[in-house]
Amino acid sequence: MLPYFFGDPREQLLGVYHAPDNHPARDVGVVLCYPTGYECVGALRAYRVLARRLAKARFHTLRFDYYATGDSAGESEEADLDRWLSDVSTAVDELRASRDLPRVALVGLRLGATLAALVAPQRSDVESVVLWEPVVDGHAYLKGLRARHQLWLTSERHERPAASRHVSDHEVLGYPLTERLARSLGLVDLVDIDLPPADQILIIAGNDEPESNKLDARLRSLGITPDRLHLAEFPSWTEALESPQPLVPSRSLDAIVTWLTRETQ
Amino acid sequence: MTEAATLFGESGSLAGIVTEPEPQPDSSKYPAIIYINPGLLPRVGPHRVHVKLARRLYKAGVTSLRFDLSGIGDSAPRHDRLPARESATQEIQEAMSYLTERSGKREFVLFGICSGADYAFRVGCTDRRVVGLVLVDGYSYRTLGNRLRHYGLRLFRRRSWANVLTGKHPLWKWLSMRESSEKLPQERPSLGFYRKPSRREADAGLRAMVSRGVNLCILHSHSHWYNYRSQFKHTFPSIGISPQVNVEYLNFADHTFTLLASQDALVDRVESWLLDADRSPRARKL
Repeated sequence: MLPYFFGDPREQLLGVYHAPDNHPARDVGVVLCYPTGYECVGALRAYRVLARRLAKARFHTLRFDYYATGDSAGESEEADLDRWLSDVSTAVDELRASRDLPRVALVGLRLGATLAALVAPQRSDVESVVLWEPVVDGHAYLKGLRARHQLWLTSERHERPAASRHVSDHEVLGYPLTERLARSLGLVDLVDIDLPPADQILIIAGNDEPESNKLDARLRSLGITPDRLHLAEFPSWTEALESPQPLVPSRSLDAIVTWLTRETQ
Repeated sequence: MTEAATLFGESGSLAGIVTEPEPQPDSSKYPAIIYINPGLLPRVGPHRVHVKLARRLYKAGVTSLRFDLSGIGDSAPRHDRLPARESATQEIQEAMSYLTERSGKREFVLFGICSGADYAFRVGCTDRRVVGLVLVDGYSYRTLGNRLRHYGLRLFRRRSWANVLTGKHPLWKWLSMRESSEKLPQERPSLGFYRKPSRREADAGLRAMVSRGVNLCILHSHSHWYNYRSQFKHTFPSIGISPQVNVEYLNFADHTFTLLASQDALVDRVESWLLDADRSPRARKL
């Protein structure tokens, strides 16, 4: 495992590269796209385990922090959807160039899946995409985030009355939500895509099963029949985030590795 | 800004980010800061506060290292079965040695939230390279003032009485536990990697550090366990008024500094403490 910065040195992104455990390495790299905001923290351990298992299955694997998140450059207030889309592309370029790989697969969870689905059709080198509980409808996603934030604030006002005087309208659960970010998130609609993200697609559905079904139908109308998987350990990732411990849905991670291994032969 | 990713430590598997300012005329006067994981949260800290603070202090010429203890974030787990608190102590010391080797830093401030504060305290007690500690939501002990505020406020809350009447109030649980002779919890429930010392042990440790010249920045958010400005002074009267001890209480902040305003306040308070020539570890050098 190698942590390193890549991309424009003034706006560098922190990546963690996992080398294949054995030779010969596969000629497909895997770029892991994190969720964002509060959904990301609970996912980091699962991503690390997934990266290790992919490396064991002889994939070159790169996970990374988007601009203005984690250890990457940028203040949290600079979070920007267009910038994150270009970061996914930068990470794909980085993995391909540094390991001399012709093709990649993208694996994303929640907003990470959405970014993967939006970036993949713009490129010719993305062979497979795993969309794990993707944010299909950005407007509904924002509404859900704000509702959760309000719920937290209600309990916070009870516990810490002084907190009421310090609340900003432009924050959600510990992270800034600028008008620009909110506007661009609100416009996300995966049912509206014109091109399929890749030839091989795996959708892992959770609570948003109706949304995933809409995406499934859209992909079929575009000529792609996605594979479907349900989490073995719990009904949905978003529900599981309520758990106080970091989550590692081990069997589901294995299922992702198995699917990628099969689809990238 | 120069930030570099690194792997260090005896096993070469501790992952961290070094924020290293260009050499400035007075940058060598500042000790380096090491950020310790709070619980199982990764090195960026809750809501990235470690990153914010490291980058703010970078502008003043402060070198820092935020890293993951083994088994957390990007650092590999250990295989020697060393208890978490012992391995954490050892790894924080390895982090100091690494910064000495890399940047020539010989004096350090340890920054810890929650269990990170516990580790910082323990290393600070024994390692003379530590010249300052920032302990955020570290040890707190209930005082009379704390109990009066906690229970007094609830006497006038409609919700408390509603809970009593509907059987949801913790009082009922307490009574049923008492009837069934279960052991009653005395203090904050302890996670496996966090053991709170007795008040006497904590007092002895803090006094020893103060007499050694270590400067302390004690910062508390608002909780059942810490709910008024002077609680630290009332808990540790012998050191609470020492000029080497700076106590801050953020009554609007929660334990993970969720509100952006609380993150800013945390960063502001620590920055002004560290850069204030009269109160900070820097004062020792002037």
